[in-house]
Amino acid sequence: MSEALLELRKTGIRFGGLRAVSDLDLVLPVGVLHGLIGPNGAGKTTVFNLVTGIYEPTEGDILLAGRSLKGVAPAKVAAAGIGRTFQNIRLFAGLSVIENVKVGMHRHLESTLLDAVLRTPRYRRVEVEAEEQCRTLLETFGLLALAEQPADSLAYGLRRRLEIARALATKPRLLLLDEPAAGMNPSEADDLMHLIRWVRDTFEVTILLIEHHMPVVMGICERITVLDHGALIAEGSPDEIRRDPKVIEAYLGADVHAGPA
Amino acid sequence: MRQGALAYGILALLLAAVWGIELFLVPWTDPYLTDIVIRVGINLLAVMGLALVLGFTGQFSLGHAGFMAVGAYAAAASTLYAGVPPVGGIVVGGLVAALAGFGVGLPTLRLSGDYLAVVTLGFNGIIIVLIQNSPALGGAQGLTGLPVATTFGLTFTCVVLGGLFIRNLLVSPLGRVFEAVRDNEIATRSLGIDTTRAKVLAFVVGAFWAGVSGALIAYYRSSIFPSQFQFDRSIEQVAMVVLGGTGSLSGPLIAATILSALPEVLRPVAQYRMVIYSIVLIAMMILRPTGLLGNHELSDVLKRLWQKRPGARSTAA
Amino acid sequence: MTLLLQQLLNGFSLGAIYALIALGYTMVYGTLQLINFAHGEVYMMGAFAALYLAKVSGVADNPTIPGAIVVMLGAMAFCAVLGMTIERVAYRPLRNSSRLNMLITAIGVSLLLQNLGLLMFGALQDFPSLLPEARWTVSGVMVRSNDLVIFGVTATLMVVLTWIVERTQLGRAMRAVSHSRDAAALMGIPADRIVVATFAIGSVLAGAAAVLVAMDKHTIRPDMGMTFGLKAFVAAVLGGIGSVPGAVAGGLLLGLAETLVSGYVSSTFRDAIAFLLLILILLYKPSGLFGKHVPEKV
Repeated sequence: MSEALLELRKTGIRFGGLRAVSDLDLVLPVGVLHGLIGPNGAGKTTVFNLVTGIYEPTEGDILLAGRSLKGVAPAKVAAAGIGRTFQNIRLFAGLSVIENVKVGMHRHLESTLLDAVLRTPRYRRVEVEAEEQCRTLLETFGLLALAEQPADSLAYGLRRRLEIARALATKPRLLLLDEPAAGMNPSEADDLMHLIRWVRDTFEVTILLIEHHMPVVMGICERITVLDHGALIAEGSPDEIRRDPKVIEAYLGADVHAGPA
Repeated sequence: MRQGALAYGILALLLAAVWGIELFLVPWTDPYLTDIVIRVGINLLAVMGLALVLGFTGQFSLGHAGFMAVGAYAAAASTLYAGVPPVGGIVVGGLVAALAGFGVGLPTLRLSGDYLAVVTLGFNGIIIVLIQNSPALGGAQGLTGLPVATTFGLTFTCVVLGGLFIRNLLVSPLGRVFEAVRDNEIATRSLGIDTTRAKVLAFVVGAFWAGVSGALIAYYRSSIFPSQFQFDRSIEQVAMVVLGGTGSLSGPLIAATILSALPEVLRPVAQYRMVIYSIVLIAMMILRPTGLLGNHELSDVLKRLWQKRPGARSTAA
Repeated sequence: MTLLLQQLLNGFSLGAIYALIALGYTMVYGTLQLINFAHGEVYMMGAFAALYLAKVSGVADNPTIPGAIVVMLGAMAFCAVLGMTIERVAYRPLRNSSRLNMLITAIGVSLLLQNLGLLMFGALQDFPSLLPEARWTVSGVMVRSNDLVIFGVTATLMVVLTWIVERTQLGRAMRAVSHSRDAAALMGIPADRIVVATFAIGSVLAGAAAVLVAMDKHTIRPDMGMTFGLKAFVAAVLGGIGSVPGAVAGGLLLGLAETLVSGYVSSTFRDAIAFLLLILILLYKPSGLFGKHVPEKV
C-alpha cells in the first residue's frame, strides 16, 4: 500500500441535497491501468472533477502520493502531476495542433516576459527544445503531418488523440482519461486502446480510465471499479467484474429503465 | 541567435524610418495631415493593448480609456510637480497605468468574465469622478501648461516599440497561453497553468500601453481634460478590436487607423458617429463575429492572396 | 437622529428604484447568463415614452391619479415591447455564440439606444408632475408624496412578481429554464418563449421605475440609464445574480449605502460607492448575499 499513487478515502460530494458521489474508496498503485465504469450519471466524471480540484469534496479526502489534494486549485493539482482529458473534448480551437501540445508543455518551459519581448538567446533555445519534444510526441500519436493545422480542423478521433498528447506534454504521473474512445468505431477504439497501454508502458504513467466500450476496457485494464448512483458497487479484475451479479444488475437495470423511454 | 538579431534589425529599420519621416517629410507636410496621423498613432497604442486583452486573452475590458486617463494624469503630474521631462513622463504614465491595471485586474480576473466588464466600466467612471474632484489634477477644467513634446517621431517610436513588444509576446509561449485561456480556461488550468496570473499579466501589459498612449495625449496639446477619457472612448476601442478581428493584431490596428481617420473625413455626419459605431458593432456580431481578419494577420492574408495567383500554383502544389 | 431617519427614508426610496431595475438584470442573467447592458436604456426610453404619453394625453397639464396610472401603464407596455424587440432582433441570433459576443452586442444595443435618444430628444427634457405633489413633516423628517408613491408602486409590483414566479406555470417554467435551458427544452418547455417573457417582465419593471424617477426628479436625459442601470446591475450582483429576493435586498442595500455616504461623508464619492461595494463583494463573496455558488459545468 505504500506504493499507492492515488488514494480516495471515503470521498464524497453533495450539490445541495444531491449526493453525486458518496463514501468512495479507491486505491491506484503506481503504474496500474485502472478502469472506472458504470451507467450514465453514475458519477464517473464527478470523480475526475474531484481528483483534479474542479470540485472540492464535501466528505473524505483525496491523496496523491500521500499528500492531500483537498482544497488545492486545479492548476496546482495539475502541476502536482495529474493530467486529464475531457468527456466533451476541450482543445484550444484557435491554436494549431502543435501549439496545443506546446501549451501542455508550458509549465516546463523557462521563459519570462522579458525573454519573450527581448528575444534573448535563452528564449530561442527554449523554443527550439519545445518544438522538438512536441514533434516527437505528435509523431507518437500519428499527428505529426497535421502539426500546423488548426486544432478545430481535426477529425473527431484525432481530436481525442491530440487531447491525450497535450495532457502527456505536462509530464504527469497520473493520467485521467474521460471516455477517450467515445464516438469512435470499434477498430479505431481498439487502436486507441493499444495506444493507451503503450503510453502507460513508455511514459511510465498510472492511468485511470472512464470508458463505455466494454470489450476494450475489459481487454486492457488490470483492475476495474464500478460505480452506480455515486457509490462503489464492485471492484476487481476484469474477470471478477464480468461475473459480479451486482454489476450485471446495475447495467441491466439501467437498460430496463432506458428501454421504454 | 540569427532570428534574435533579425528582430533587432527590424526594430532599427523601423525606428530609422520613423525618424527619417520626422526629419525630412513632416516639416513639409500639411500640419492638418500630421495632426491626424499623430492622433491615429495614439489610438494605435491603446488599441494594441486592448487587442492583447480582449482579442487574444478573451477578457472583456470596458475601461481601457480609464487606463489612458491614469497614464495621462500620472505623466502630467510627474512633469508639473516633479519636473520629469516628457520622455520620462511617458514611462511614468505607462508604469502607473500598469499598476492600476494590476489593482483592478487581480480581484476581478479570478472570476467569470462578466464581472470584469462591469468592474472595468465602473473603474473608468470612478477615475473620471476622482479626477474631476481633485484640485491637484485640475478638476473638470483640466490641467494646462504642459510642455509640448508629442511629435510624429515620438508617437511612432512608441508605436513601433509597443507593436514589437506585443507581437513578440504574442508569438511566445506566453502568447500561446493567453490564447489557450481565451479558447478554454478549464483546459488551460488542467495543464498546470495559473490562468489568473496569465490574465493579470495580459491586463497589466495592455494597461501599460494604454498609459503610454494617454501620456502622449498629455504632451500633445499642452493640456488634458477628464472628458477626453470618458466611457465612449473605451467603447470606441472595443469596436476597433472587434471590427479588426479578435485574435489578430494587425486587424485591430487597421480598424483603428480607418476608424480614427474616418471622423475627420466625415465631419458632416459627426453626430451620427456613435450611432453608426453601435449599429456596425451589432451587425458585426451577428453577421461576422470574428471581425475583418478573424484570427489571421495581414501577412497571412497577403500570403494567401499571393498563392492564389495562377503563377504561384507550382510552389503550392 | 432626525437626519438619520431622513437618510433612511431617502435611502429606501432610492433603493426601491434600484431594486425594480435590478430585477430585470437578474432575471435575464438567470435565463441567458447575459448582462443585458441595454436594460438601462430600456428604462431611459420608458421615461421618454411616459413624457410623450403625458403630453399627448393631457395628463401633463391636468395631473390626476387615473391619468398617472394610464401614463405609467403605457410606459410599462412600451418598455415590454422594446425589451422583446431587442431580444428578438439582437440577442436571439446569437443564442449559440460565445458569451463575449453576446456581451459586445448588448453594449452595442445600449449605445445605439442612448445615441438615438440623444439625436431624438436632445440632451435633457423637463418632466411634468403626473400627480398633485405634497410634502409633510413628521417629527422633523420630511416625507414627500412621491416617496409614498414609490413605495406603493414598488411593493405592488414585487407582490405581483413574486406571485408570477412562485405560483404560475410561467414562473415555474422560468425557474426551470434558469436552472438549465437545455434540460428545460428537453422537458418540452419552449425556452425561447420563456426568454421573451423574462425580457418583457424585466422591461415592464424598468418602465415603472422610469416613471417613478422621472416624476421625482422632473428632468430626464438620454444618458440617465447608463450609470443608473449599471448601479442597478451592481445591486443585482450584491444580492446574488439570478436571485429575485437578492435583487431586492441588493437594491435596498445600495440605495441606503449611497444616501448614508453622501449624507455623512461626502456626496462627491456617491457614484463610487456602488463599485467599491462591488469589488468588496467580489473579493469576499462572489456569489452575492443570496446567491448560491454554482460550479461551472465540466
